[in-house]
Amino acid sequence: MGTQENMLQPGTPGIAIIQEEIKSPTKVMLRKFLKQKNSVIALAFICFLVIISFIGPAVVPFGVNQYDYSAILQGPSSTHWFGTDEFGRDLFSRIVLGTPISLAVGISAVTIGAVTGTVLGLLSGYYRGWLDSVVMRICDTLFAFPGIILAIAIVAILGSGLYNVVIAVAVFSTPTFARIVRSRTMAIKESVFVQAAINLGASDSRILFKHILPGAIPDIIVQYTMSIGTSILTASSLSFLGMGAQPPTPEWGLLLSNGRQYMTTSAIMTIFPGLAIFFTVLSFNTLGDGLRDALDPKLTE
Amino acid sequence: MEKKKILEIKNLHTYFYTDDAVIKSVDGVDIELEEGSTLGLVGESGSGKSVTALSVMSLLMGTTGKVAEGEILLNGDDILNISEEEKRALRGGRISMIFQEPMTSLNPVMTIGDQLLECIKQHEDISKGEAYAKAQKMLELTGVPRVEKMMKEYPFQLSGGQRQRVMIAMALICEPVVLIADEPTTALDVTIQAQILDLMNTLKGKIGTSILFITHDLGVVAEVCDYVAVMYCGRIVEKGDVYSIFGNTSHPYTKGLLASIPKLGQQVDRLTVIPGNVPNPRYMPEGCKFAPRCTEAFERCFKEEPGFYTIGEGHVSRCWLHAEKAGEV
Amino acid sequence: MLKYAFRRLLGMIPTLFIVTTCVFFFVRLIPGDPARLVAGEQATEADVLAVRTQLGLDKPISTQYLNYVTGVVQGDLGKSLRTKRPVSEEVGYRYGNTLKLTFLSLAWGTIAGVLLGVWSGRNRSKWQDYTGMAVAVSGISLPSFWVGFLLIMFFGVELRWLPTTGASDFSSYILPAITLGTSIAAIIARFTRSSIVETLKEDYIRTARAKGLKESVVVWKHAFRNSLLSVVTVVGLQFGFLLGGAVVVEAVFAFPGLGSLLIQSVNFRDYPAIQSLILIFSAQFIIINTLVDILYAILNPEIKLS
Repeated sequence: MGTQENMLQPGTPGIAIIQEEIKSPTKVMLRKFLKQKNSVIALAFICFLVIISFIGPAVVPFGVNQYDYSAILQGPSSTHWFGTDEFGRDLFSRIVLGTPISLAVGISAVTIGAVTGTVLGLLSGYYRGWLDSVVMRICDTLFAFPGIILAIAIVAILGSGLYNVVIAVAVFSTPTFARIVRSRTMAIKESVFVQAAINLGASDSRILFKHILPGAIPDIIVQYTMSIGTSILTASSLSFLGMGAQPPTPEWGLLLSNGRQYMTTSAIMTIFPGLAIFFTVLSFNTLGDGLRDALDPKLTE
Repeated sequence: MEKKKILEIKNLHTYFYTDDAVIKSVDGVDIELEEGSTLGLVGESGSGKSVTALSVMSLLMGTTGKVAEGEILLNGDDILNISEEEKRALRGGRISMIFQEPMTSLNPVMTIGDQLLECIKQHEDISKGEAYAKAQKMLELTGVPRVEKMMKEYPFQLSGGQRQRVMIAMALICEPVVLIADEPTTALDVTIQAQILDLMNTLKGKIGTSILFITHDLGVVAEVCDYVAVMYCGRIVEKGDVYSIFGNTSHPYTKGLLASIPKLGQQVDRLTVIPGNVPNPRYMPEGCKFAPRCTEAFERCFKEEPGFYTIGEGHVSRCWLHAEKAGEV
Repeated sequence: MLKYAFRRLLGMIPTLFIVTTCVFFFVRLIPGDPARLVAGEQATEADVLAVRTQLGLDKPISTQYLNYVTGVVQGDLGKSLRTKRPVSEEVGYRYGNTLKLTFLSLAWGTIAGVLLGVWSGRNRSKWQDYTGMAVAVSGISLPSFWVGFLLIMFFGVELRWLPTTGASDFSSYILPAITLGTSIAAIIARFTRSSIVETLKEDYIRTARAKGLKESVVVWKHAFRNSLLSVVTVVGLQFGFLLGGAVVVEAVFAFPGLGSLLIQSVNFRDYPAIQSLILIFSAQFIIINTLVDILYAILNPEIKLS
């Protein structure tokens, strides 16, 4: 209260100036995010998975395709933490080595979709006209199919395999991003400061990149995180159906479909890969929720 | 000849508990509402007048606000330290409230009739037919045209003035002893304003309700209020009957409020304003809360908070200026 | 009101048309020669050619397209290359199963989802909210085929209470419906919760409480009734997804529905079947979305009366 006493003399009506810390938006967002313990844990787990993806091969006890006919269909033991499959391969190692696959597929597919969708959204939301109609029609058509059906259709044309799964998931993620970015673009374009910039003669690209895109980034980030969860689920579903990863790739969905035949004898084979998928997707979804709450200007407490 | 005090608020403190601070919205408020009268609770936005009303109605759920200290008596009965069930029984029945925004205060997917019925059925054990008739009668009393049709209509089909009449009907239908009106006319056109105020006065007489009228508009106060209490920063700074307050304005804040109303026929170069701003509730000044903006403040004002000093019969002011007059030093 | 409904229904037609066209050409992109597949591995070039003529695949694309479209309009979905029988026959048999499964899953998912969502939303930021939403976020993170397996292993194999394949009687619908219903319940719960939280902030809720109404009445009759509009939309969308997107669950439970038919057809390059199935899925989706729009208008008095 020292500043106040100095500034106020008896009898002088004045404004009591209180120095309030002006917090930058990034700092505010970071503070809000860090308060959500679930999301922080999720982020930590994801980082852990990323690290595992890189050091996995060096760290796992067994090889990805290490047959051992003397130890088939075993339950968990001290040598084989998650047991073995029908060829005696160590399930734990295979699951760990499957991590980079799921992460890579999920992240790359969504990145492609996000970039494509954002570009389309920006252009159609900003320029409107025939471009907008065409883009929206395409999106509507893509939205007319349940995601997995579209993915199956694309994989049917391109053939099975993980690269095609990435393309398929990228295709069906694109319209979501396009729509979000488009509506945000239209909203920001109508705002006073953009109208002012236009009137001052700012070029389109300047407005798009300096004003509109930054405004859309929070929505994009949140959607991005949530979409990774969906894409990992879709990719593993496709592998499960035999349209994605092919043996002997240790993709988690494929491991699950493998385990199906041995459900009665060796249930372990279906439980652990499923848990891997579940926790990974859960982390991305929780992270996405945390980001959305942190970026929402309306949520203060 | 002391009239009965139908509502007494004693030393009310209502605080909001946020993550980083405790915001003292209402910090020591004493109000007495005489039976059959209208008390105007006046203040700027943020003075704590609405929070006072919500505290009386115990409508602070969903916020971080809680009554930290104080007593609230309705007709002599404690209504603060009772169970939630008992509080709920009072709401809409013995005390009711109308709000500032008639446009959004009615449920958009229920008919007017259903919303009125709901209120009656909650507090009275009568048949649906009787309740419907009662609701219709009440609506007629508020002066809306084509009552039968309106009972079946939805809020979006009504104008702002009509919706506020419906709100008044809903508040008075169970014949409460106290009606709290939180800026009921602020969002309405001036002509409608006059009608609504008139309506409230008439109904008050018919039903025998006492009104706690919250407003920032001194013109309205002069028209409808018998007594006035002026609030600033969660405290009362001046209290009295309406003639004393307007005729013998004592507290510098009240004086400032009156002075800032432009007068018809008067030509001035600049409008009179109270300098400065209402303090941020997180950083309240020491001493008298109004001192930083007061043209008549002196040293003592910045150090100690004044008490209430009597100006006249039933008229008090919270200002060191009046301490000398009252014989205190 | 009727005019609005009629206009919306009419608006579906161009979209359906575009989808039909897209599907037709799309399917032709699938690599592999169906004539060869039908003729068999031992077939000579002449045989394959004969099959191709027989199947009408030698005609120019435009003719094939026209034939297809006229056929669809008349209700003829083509002849399956795999079963040699009309596609509509196979679809007809399976459609009923898929429909029943969809309704069952939707019913369980909606009820569970709404109850969980409202419970969380009305207790915002308290333990009920955190628990409810933790359950919901887990629900959307579960791979459906894994849930299916777990249920099979537990109820089918261990306890032997319920059948795990086919669609013979009601009990065989239970496990698949639970599996499908779970992810729907989770989505609906999350959505309902945020809708309730928003609605509870509205002024009319304050009025309802000021009238002295019980909190449960405030939450259900006032808040939820206003959230109903958006919840219905979400439920409707899920309905659309379920009618075709249950592919994975059908595979897990060997359920004879439309989804598993699609997989079989894709593996066989059965053009007529694939194109008709995809057409059916998207047509359903479009029709349901339109119906949901109309239902929205009915529930919203503002649109109903204008």
